[in-house]
Amino acid sequence: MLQIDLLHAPDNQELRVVDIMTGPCPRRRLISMGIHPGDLLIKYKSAHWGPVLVRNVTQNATRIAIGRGLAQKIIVSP
Amino acid sequence: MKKAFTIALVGQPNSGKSTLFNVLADRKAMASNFSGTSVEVSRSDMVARGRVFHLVDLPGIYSLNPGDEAENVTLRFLMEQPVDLIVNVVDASLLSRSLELTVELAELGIPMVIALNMWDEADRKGLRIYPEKLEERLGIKVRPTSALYGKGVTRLVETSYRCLVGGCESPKRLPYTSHMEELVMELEKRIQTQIAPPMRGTSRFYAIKLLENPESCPQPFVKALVELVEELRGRIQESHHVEAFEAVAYERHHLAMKMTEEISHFVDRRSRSLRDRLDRYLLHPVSGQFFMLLYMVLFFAAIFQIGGLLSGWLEPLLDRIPPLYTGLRETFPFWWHTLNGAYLGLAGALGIVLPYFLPLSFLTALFMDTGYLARMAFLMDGVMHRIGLHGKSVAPFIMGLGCSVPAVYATRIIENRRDRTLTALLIPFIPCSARTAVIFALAAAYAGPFGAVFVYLLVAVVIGFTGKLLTLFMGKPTGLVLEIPDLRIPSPAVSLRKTWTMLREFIFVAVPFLIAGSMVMSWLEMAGIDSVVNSFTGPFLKSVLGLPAALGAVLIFAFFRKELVLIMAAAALGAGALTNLPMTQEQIMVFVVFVTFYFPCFSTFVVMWKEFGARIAWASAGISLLVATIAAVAVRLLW
Repeated sequence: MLQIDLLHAPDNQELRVVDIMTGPCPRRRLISMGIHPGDLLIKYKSAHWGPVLVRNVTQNATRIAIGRGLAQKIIVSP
Repeated sequence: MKKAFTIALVGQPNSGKSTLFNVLADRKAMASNFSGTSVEVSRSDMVARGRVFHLVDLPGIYSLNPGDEAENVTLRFLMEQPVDLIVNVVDASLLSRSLELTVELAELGIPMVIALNMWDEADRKGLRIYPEKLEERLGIKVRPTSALYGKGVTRLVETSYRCLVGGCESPKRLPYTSHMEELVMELEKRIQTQIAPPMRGTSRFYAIKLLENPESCPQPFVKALVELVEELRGRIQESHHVEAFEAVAYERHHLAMKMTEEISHFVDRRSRSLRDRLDRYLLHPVSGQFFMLLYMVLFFAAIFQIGGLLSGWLEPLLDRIPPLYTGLRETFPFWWHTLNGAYLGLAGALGIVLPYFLPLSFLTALFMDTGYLARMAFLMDGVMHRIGLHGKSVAPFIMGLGCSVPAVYATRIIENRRDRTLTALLIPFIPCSARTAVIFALAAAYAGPFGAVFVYLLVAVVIGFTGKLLTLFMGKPTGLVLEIPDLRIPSPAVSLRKTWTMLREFIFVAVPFLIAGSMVMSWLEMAGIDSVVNSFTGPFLKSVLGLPAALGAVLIFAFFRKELVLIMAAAALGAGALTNLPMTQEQIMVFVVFVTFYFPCFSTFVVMWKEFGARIAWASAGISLLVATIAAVAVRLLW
């Protein structure tokens, strides 16, 4: 199973969250805002600067912007 | 006297608690389509069927595990205050995520009613929800509402009333998966006898809280149980291979997901709504930036135009007043000074500040409800990182255009203390409505629209530069996690009501203050005290800034309210109207720039002290004074 970080993951396709490898604080934050390992996300097309925009498909939730540094620590599999 | 019940509104950020609160209460809380606008506890009384209820609007929380200051406020309130009924505001269009908080609130065991808010929004998304199934599942009443349009609110009030007066049920127990449930029950048995007032909530709630996040519980209580709790947490980690916090979060997540499946289904998934397509352009890295710039230009152009128009109407009316009392000047100089002081205060408030204050309040209120603010935060995140902040600081900054005081409170949505302090230190540099009036009335009047644009550009440069500089001392910012809510069409009626609230406060709080302040200035002038103050500040003003020494007392007094600057400047320089101040264009620009930056006003200073302590408040004051001097000198040299 191919694994890649969210920042470098492909746009516009479903990605399954494998792990959140941040420190405990941002991890809690992400989980309470509805990004759990196992969820399906869609990443929107984004620029080479600024945060990454994702939508949690499993929960049919609103979009969440995640800073580039954090996105790099979220591991997903396409 | 019958007991007055307390009702607390609790929900996730942006679920519409404040909007609902505004509909229920007479007083308006600041609501907007941005996560976490309410960072203070708002209170109001509501009358239903002749009885008074205390209504409390708690800051939005994703869960009862405090990540930022705003969430901490809510958790403490629920654990310590006597709440008789929780109205859980659930965003129906985000059912699954919202129910995670509902599950957690249900654990508290306090009587609860659910407002399934944004019912229309869920409908538009094609989500069909069966409230009666949720009622059955949780054992409490569920009422669909659409607070923004005031729908379903009457029924919600009726239900809450019946619940409080006729007695109501607490939510059913929602069992976790068996292994976890066993651990919870084991701990629950041990602490049952220790849950005594003033602690609120059931033993089950504290058992779960101890397992997932012992720091959030009252410390003496934790101390007695620390060994058992650590052992159980260890067992969870061993069997679940994740930290206890996450294991509990998953339990709630699964309960919420299961509930969502049971009580709702999709009737039709529309391909792409218009709003989604619009968002593609608004959030696009290139067209988004372009749109944001265009938006800001239009926003300020509109305020400038409308403000000019209104002040054109008001000024001739105000000009008719002075001839009425000029006769007193020779006969009763004291009364003339008093009346003239009062008049200058009134004229400044109504003729100069009000015309810009009104369009600014209304347009800001409209703007906040659209949800565009979150998009700005998203677009600005990259730039903000360069000055050591992140996108979330955009919200307090935009609020700072209205008034620095709520803006400083709004920094509570920023989780990290360092980011929060830095944002707060930069807020006093954002021109609030008082200073906007100064900028428009002086810079724009004497140097044309370019003068105002120049000041705003300077503000941007100063914020960027100061931010960068402070980052050297304070380290790097943390990452951003921000919800981007769906775009919504704002309701002009709601915005008008908000504007009215702000207007009322302006008329009853600011205007008397302006009149009194102006009167005091006038007396000081008569007694010659202002010249004493001026002799102290004069050398600095004259040599460093090149301004008339007579402005010294003005600047000192404007510390209380910056609007006072205009009126008092006119009075101190002996000019009848603002349009003929005896100052050159260069002096005007230096003065405006200095006033814009030189010191947070009194209220901001107090709030800063309250929120961050004396050190930061004084640091803010010192930095502001320094920055103002440097910026003003720069303008003097360059203009």
